[in-house]
Amino acid sequence: MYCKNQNMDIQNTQSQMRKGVLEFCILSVIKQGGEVYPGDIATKMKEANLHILEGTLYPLLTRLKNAQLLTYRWVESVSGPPRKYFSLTEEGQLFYKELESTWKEMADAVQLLTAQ
Amino acid sequence: MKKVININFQGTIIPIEETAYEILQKYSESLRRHFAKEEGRDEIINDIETRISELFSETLKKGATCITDDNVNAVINSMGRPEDFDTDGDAYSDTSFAQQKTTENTYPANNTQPNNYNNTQSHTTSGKRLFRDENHKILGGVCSGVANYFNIDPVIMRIVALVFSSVVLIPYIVIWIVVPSSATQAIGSPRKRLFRDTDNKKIAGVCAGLAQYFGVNTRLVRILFLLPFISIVFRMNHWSGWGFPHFLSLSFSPAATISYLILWILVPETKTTSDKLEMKGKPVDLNSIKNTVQNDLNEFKDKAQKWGKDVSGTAKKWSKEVSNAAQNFTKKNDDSNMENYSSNIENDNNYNQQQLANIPPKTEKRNGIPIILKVLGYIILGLIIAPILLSLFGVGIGFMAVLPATDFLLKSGWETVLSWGTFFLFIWVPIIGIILWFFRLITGNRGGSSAIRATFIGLWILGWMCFFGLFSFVGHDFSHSAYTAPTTFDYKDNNVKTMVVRAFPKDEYSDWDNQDFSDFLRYFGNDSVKIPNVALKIEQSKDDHFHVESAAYANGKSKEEATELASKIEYKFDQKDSTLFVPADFFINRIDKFRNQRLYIKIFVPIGKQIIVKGDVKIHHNIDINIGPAGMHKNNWDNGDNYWDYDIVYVMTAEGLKRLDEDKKDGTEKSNTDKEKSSNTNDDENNSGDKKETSNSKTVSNKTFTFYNMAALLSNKFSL
Repeated sequence: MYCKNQNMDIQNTQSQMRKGVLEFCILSVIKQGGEVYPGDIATKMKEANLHILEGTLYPLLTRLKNAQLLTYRWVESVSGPPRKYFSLTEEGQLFYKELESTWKEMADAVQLLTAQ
Repeated sequence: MKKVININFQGTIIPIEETAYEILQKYSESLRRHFAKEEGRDEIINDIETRISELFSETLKKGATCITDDNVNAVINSMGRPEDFDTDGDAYSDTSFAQQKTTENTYPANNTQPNNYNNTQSHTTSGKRLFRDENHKILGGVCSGVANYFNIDPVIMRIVALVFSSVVLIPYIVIWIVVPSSATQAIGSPRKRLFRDTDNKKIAGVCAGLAQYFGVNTRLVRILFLLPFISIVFRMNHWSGWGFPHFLSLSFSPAATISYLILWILVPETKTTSDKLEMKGKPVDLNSIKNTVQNDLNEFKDKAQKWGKDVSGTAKKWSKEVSNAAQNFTKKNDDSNMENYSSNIENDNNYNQQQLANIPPKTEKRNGIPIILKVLGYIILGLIIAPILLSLFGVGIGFMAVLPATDFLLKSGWETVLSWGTFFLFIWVPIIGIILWFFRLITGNRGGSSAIRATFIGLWILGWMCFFGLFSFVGHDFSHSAYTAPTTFDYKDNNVKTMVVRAFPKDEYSDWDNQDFSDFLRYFGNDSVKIPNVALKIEQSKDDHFHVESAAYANGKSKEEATELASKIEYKFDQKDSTLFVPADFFINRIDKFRNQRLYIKIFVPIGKQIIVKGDVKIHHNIDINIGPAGMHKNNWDNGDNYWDYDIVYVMTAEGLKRLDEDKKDGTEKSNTDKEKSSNTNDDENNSGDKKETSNSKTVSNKTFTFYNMAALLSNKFSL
């Protein structure tokens, strides 16, 4: 219990790092897939080794939708209740382009700084 | 065998075990609470639940007959628990589109930090919380939970608990039931917290808050608090003031008051909406208690069985080793011996490994010894504080008991104000302050702000001032004293050899043998009360006759008032044959107040004659109710040969009063000669020889404030 404090600090930083890129990654997945439903998004992220809990995903998607960056439509499913399939709006596309360039800049910068 | 129910989950029928359903429900509620402030909350929760039902459908399709606990837990793990969510309002306040959304809530930072590793969620009124530790428990997790809260080693806590097990047993059970286990916190199900419900308050919301917590009707709780006071009204065995009943008994009204006051101070009031939600949470009902306790007991049983198996396993190993060693010892030295020996070593190794495996994982090393000292320190501190508290408490209660009588002592106006001020500020403030300080010390809560401390100390100083003010006021009222001139009662003593002293036949009103509080109240509810402040002295007569003299005495704020009060005392004597009826008490009323009124009776017995005081007289050698020393005057009323017993025949001899039987034994002749005898016996002799007779009836204890006199002197000097 006494070494917890050290753990906490690094976990904190790590999760902050993740949080920074999360939106961007999700939007990427949606853009690439065209129309994706949340379960798929979570799976893709897992495959890419960037784990995200579905419970985190849903509020995020809802916020993005409320900000009019995403839109969805219901698709009936044989194996259960209907699903929401998300796709980027026009605004979302523009937003994504901005993030993409931001990311590129940042990635280069970090690469430079951390290169030995 | 588990009960299975069907639920309609997002439009699909799902068969699910009842226990699994409860887990699901808790999860659902935790989600609801987590997203309580979130915009689009309903949508989010809907999405999540839809996803869950989808996963359930898949499970069922794969061949399961129903959803089990494991299924639910697996789904919850994959969805994530609320406190693990990376939902961060801060991130959005930084991104660009937040500028478009002006109504987005920006949560303060501490509200949204990932709380993976803390046990506390942020609330407006939180500190460190007390939980029962599900993961490190032996029986109910009480010891480890409490130990974690105070940052001591759970093992030490358990040892202490076992040593004091007889005392600890009941609190243990109470904590087991009342304190929630850490499992509920992990899932995030609504805990119930005790708040004062200020929305529904009558005085301070204490009763309403308690009612919410236990899920009972508010009126019921209020009645419970009022019950002791009701018992006064109906005179049903209310606490009489001289015994000290069990604190929680229903006839002990100060307990109800004090509990209320303490709860008022300690229990926080609901400030925010989330507080209100927490207050109303899930009720602590019998079912949940039953389940909790049952579960814990079952786990304990399993653990105990496992431990039993370990013990028997170890015992077997040991016996095997012992027998092996014995075999070795007896076997001859040959190769087979070496073989046996090596195989024994193998056995030993196996056995050792198993031993190691059986050792439970070491608990974290804490410093054991300083912790023990800390615990001891607390115990000693408690032992010191408890008597102080109890004595202050006792004084406070005592004052409460005497309350009705104060009307006879204190003039209205300043005096009563000061007396109430003294009562509350001087006595109760330190009690409450000490209790609170002690609690804070135990809980390690540094919340005691200097403002509160200053307030308490300030109030207490005010109390001291009230106390001194009261003293000087009352002292002034008693500053002077006066006697009336002695009056003689004509006792006809023809042919009287033995005077019999009796009291007047009693009427129902005169008795102040208060048996209980209701009599006490009734008695002091009247306009005037009788007090038995009568002293009877038997002295030697200077001539051949019996004489009866009496004088009254009183205090007052001036000589005139004292004289007036003294002469107001009414009493009478009577005689029938040889019996002298004496007054055993007299009236004082509310207007004249109690000012140490006394009645002195002196009976002069000639040498050779006898006297007997009957037991019904019940008056004493010395004054019972006394404030301050016996007046400023040296007088011969307080002296005199004092000691005599009831129902004993005494004969007056030249040397003084003697018991008849003693006298006969001594063989002293009863002489009729008039011996010169100074009736002014020494003050010192008398004062040291005075015996305080214990009274038959209960009376107010001797309030001889010796420095009281000083206060009276002071007030005289300042001519109040």
